[in-house]
Amino acid sequence: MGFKVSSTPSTAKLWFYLYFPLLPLEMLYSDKTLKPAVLLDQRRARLWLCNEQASEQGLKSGMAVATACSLCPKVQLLSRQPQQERQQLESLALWAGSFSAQISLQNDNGILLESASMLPYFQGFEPYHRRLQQQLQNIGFSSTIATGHTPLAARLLAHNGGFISTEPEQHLAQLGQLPVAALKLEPKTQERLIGMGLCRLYQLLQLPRNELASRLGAELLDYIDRLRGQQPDPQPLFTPPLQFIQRLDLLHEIDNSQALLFPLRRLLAALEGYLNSRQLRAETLLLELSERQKPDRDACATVRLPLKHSGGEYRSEAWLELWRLRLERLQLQQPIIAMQLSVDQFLERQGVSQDLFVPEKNTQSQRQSPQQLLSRLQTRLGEGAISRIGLVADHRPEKSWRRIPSDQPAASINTAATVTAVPATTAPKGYGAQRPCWLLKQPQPLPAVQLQQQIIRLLQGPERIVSGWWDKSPIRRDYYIGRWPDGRLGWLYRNHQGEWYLHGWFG
Amino acid sequence: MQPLVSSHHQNNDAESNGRQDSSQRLSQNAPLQHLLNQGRVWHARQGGERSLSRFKTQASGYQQLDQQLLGGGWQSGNLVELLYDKEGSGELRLLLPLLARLSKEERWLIWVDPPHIPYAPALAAAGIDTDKILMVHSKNRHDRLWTLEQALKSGGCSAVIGWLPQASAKAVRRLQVAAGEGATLGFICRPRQCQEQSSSAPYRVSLEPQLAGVGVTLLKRKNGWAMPTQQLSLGEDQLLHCQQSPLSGHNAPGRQRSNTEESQRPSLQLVT
Repeated sequence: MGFKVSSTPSTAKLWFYLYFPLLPLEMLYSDKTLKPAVLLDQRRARLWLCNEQASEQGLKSGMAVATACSLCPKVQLLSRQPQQERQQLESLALWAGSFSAQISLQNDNGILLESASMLPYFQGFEPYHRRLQQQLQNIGFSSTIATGHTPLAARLLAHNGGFISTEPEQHLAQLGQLPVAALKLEPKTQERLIGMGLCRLYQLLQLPRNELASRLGAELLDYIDRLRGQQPDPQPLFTPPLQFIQRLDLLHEIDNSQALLFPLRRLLAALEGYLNSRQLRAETLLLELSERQKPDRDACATVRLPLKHSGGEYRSEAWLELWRLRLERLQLQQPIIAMQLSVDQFLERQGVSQDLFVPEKNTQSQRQSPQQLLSRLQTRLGEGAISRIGLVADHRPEKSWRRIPSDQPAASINTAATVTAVPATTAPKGYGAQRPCWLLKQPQPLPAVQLQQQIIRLLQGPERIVSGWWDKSPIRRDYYIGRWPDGRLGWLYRNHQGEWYLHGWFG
Repeated sequence: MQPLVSSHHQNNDAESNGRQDSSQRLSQNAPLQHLLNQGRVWHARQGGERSLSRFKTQASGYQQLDQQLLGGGWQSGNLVELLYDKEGSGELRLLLPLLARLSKEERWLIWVDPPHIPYAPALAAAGIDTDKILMVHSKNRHDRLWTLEQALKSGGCSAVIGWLPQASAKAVRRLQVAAGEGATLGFICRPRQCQEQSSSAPYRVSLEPQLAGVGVTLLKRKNGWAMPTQQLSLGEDQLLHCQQSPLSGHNAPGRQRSNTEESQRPSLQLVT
């Protein structure tokens, strides 16, 4: 096996090939199924792909449907959806946008990623590989990944069990062990090679180039040159669409809102990659659920669920958490047959600087931002449940504050602050200290007797407030601070009719 | 002789081991010490230590109370239970100086199910940035506990205040765990009957309004025994400071200024 790499044009090249052998089958799952399932070929006569559970039962691709059913009666028979396969692969390419800027879709359910230029951003090869594998597991497709110094090398290795390395020599060494049949050459060429006693790839690679060209044709030479990296091998690159809209037709109808999370996870994974590749955050997502057609209606009804994150977010885990909370509140009227996820509102991503001396572990368990917390609360409790308070320039106690809806953008709060900047000079600021922390929602009538008999002792006052003559709720009140028999301090007033009311507590 | 890491350790050792020994050590590390004194060496530990000791203490702002608390204040990452009968027992006045300080942070001060309206002018006058206050009105007990737990756990709040008219010991324990996870200071207000029940909140404070001031009792505190009742004014003296002449000139500019100045630094006085 002692062959030399004569001249690699650039040692810094590194490609990742992600091969999803069961993609056409697994994309049809509606949950994390562990049942045997097989995909039939175009004519629906023979098995084409079997999942692990089916293989354990002894099913193999190429087997007749009848044989399969007799071997394993419970097997789930699925048929191919060629159009959706392409869509699914594109969705995976979107997801891979987190890992590479140059992505190429391959016809054999594979994705090719140019990785060498990305490694610095992931602090090296190991973290990159780890992250990639973690996310692949989350997506839930069985996959084989391989690296290669050329696209072809990565592809060959991925198809033959996978191999991870950063060195071109090791790639070539591993490739050399492959049987010639793995090259998927034309049958005629392959027969000739085996006839010549060239069974393994390294034997082929050892031969002089000009001999190869003259005996086996320029095509094979070209192939080997591309494999070694001596010939450029340009790949068609995937361009992410301008707008993020991902549609998923569900094979099984879903009638439980929580079950929607499983297919949604994949859509969100694609979203994360898409947002990463464009350095954006999504502020509002729109999920459209198509209901099954009712017998008395012509068209399918659609449930539209917008979901807002108050600071914008790109991580799929955070969005999934929000969707989980949102879908908890959803009652499905009809089973769902398809779903579509789109982004309504994008935000620019802001760079986050990390502490140089705090290890990565700590930043992983980093705290949620206040915005994230707000989004969670809004999603679970509904927007009406959350509010803020602000000051208003009005002398009437019940009008000198206001409730601000929590979804109001910060800009309007700033204007509210400028409004309050005015009363800070006009309205006596010192009075704030004379105001109670608790204001009653409604002033509460007090029997005058309590004051006459000094059960409630007035400690301070009166402070006369006469205001609001210009609108419909004028007031004329004398405010006092009084001590209740149990020692509490209350804020009470007498109106112009001489009636007493409690208006707040000095909590 | 152990190696000296920072000037801080050195000083401690110096104090304990006597002057002669310390001067010897100092001379050994003189070059390092010299650099440290000049501020040319940056301590990486300074940042690190901050993240290691996650639980800061937060002074309540009332000196007399802080003296009774280890580290001079409430330790964040813990629950403080405020036990009182009715609103108006000084429960908010006790928190105002602390909230005013915490509202400078870019995090929420979250109020879960306050029984009345938190009155913005009074809070602003106490120095609290009302923009940071987030009010949550939950529909039921389950949502309320969920909100409190999320808020405590998230670390997105500088303080969490919740009103729990009824909560099981188990719920309080959960909240305490959440507070520890998020290193957040949580205040839960509960009726005084709960005093009899055990609680996993590390601080329990009973508030009892009196004819002058509020009787504050630390029923339970971290690293210490329960303390006898203290009578605190909780800013009452400033509130009623123009008591002598209630009917005249309380908005005179001079007095007003002194009023605001005092209100910014609530002092604690023993009312006798």
